[in-house]
Amino acid sequence: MKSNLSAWKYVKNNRRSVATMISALALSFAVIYIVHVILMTSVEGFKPMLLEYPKKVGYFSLSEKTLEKSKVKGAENGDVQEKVQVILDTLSAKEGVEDITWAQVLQAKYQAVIGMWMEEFPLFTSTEEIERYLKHTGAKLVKGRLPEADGEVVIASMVMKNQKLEIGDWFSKDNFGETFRIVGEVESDSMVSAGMPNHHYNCGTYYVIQYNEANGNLGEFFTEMGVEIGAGDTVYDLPAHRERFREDCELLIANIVNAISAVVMFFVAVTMLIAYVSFLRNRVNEYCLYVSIGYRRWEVYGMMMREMFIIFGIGFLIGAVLALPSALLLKETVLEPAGIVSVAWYPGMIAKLGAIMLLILGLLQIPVLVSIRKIKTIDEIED
Amino acid sequence: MFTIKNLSMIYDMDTDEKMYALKGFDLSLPDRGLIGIIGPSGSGKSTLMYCLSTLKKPTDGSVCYNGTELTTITDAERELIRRREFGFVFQKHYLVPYMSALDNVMVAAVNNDATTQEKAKTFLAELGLGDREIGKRPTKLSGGQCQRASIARAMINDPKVLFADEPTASLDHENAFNVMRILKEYSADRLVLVVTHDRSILGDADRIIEMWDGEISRDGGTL
Repeated sequence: MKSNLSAWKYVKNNRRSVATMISALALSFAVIYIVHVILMTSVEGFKPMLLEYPKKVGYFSLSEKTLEKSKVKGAENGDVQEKVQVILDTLSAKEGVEDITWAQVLQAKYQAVIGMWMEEFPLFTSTEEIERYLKHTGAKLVKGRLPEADGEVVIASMVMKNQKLEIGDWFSKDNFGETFRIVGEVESDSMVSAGMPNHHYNCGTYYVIQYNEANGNLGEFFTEMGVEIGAGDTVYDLPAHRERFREDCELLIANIVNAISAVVMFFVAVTMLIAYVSFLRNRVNEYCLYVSIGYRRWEVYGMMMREMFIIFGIGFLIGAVLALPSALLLKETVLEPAGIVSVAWYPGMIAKLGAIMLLILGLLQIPVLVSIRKIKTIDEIED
Repeated sequence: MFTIKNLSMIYDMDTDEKMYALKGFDLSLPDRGLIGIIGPSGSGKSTLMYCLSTLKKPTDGSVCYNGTELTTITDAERELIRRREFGFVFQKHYLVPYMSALDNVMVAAVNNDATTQEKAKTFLAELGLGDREIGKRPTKLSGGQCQRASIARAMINDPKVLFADEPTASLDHENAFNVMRILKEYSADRLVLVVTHDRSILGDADRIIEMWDGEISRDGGTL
């Protein structure tokens, strides 16, 4: 026997209360999504520097203490100089390693909405070296010229935008004063910058290795070579960057997003629970009528569930329709012009929000099931 | 249609002060006709109606409906009988507030097709609710119109038995007599049981059962 208990009738005829519930869900969805997009700028902005750049360039510096105590393969009993030479020769001989240069480095600052990253870039002593380096990293000069004199630098477009720098400006004036002049702007998928030293300031000196991704694990290479890396050594390679990205960016941001989502959704769930219990109370007579005239309780339950699915479904759709264009607008008009790398489309987050809504729907089963159990027939009401 | 034997209903069974709503009596009801059950408040008339309609399960005795013992069947079977074979008019109209009069009738329908929809409109029209009223919600209808819509709801599945508990309680005299006239016409080919404490509305009843203190004090007469 077909049930005539239609969920649409309630939805269509109670527009105000249904609209309140739908709005609460849709707005919560949109707010969480936008917050996610904003917070994820930290992840998206750091990706080129922490995931892409170390696939092409690595840095290391080993202390004398480490080299003295390490039994470097091929120079087990050699002195520090011999050991360094063996390490460099072995590394250079590896397929995919293009160049190793002992070079000073500077740090380019990238400020995200949450947190910042200081990315090392090398200071070569000749324009040719810079050209080779840019070619290796796939970077293209898009404005200005390459460094030709001491203290000249070319900076990644995104860093220029992010730090509001122009060609002709002094680079990192707060730290180095008027010593590094920006002469060009380069574009790449890994925020590559480069320059020439000024003999006054730098951020350390390292071996800069231009390699391919297959050689990105310098830590493993040193272990194979018998080098015991210690606290005084620096190895900036692909695994080290990946680990930092995972811990300092992905996990941190994911935790913040999860905490915000949990708090917002907790309040939404409580609000929905209170609102829904109130709706159920207002409809007690209706449910009693249905059971009295012969509907099964599960048919009434089915109608209630269909109503909730409609409300949550529309809430989800409106939330998505609100959130996506808002995120796109935010990206185009606020984040990108401010030099903050951002992404507007996160299907995973949409799926997650959908799952959270299903969870709230699951929570609402409690009052629904209690109500179903408590439905009386009209004779009991009239008693 | 109904054969009732030794029917008794006791409230507060678990307490020392048991209340006998029905005190064990026999009764037979025919397949058709308008039967009034009359008595003062607390006489057990509504309880009797609810026991017959399966809404209440009697404490003791048997209620046989067309060969089916209603006191022993499952809840699902009781619900099925209520849905298919019984119609209900309650003291209050119990219309769903957010639905139109027409939707309120259709919500009880076993079928939801165009024919049933037309039938609902016809019933409502016969009961004095025109095209304008059938689209209105209960809050926009008078008490009489609501009660008539609830009668149409009770009739929509062509029930074999129509139970009406104080169907005129919230109506003025004119509306009350109109409702009773409709129920009388409807009882030509089915059983209509009307429970009331108002004798005046049972002028057309085929049989009147009088109840007093949980027992039948008089059966068979008309006014």
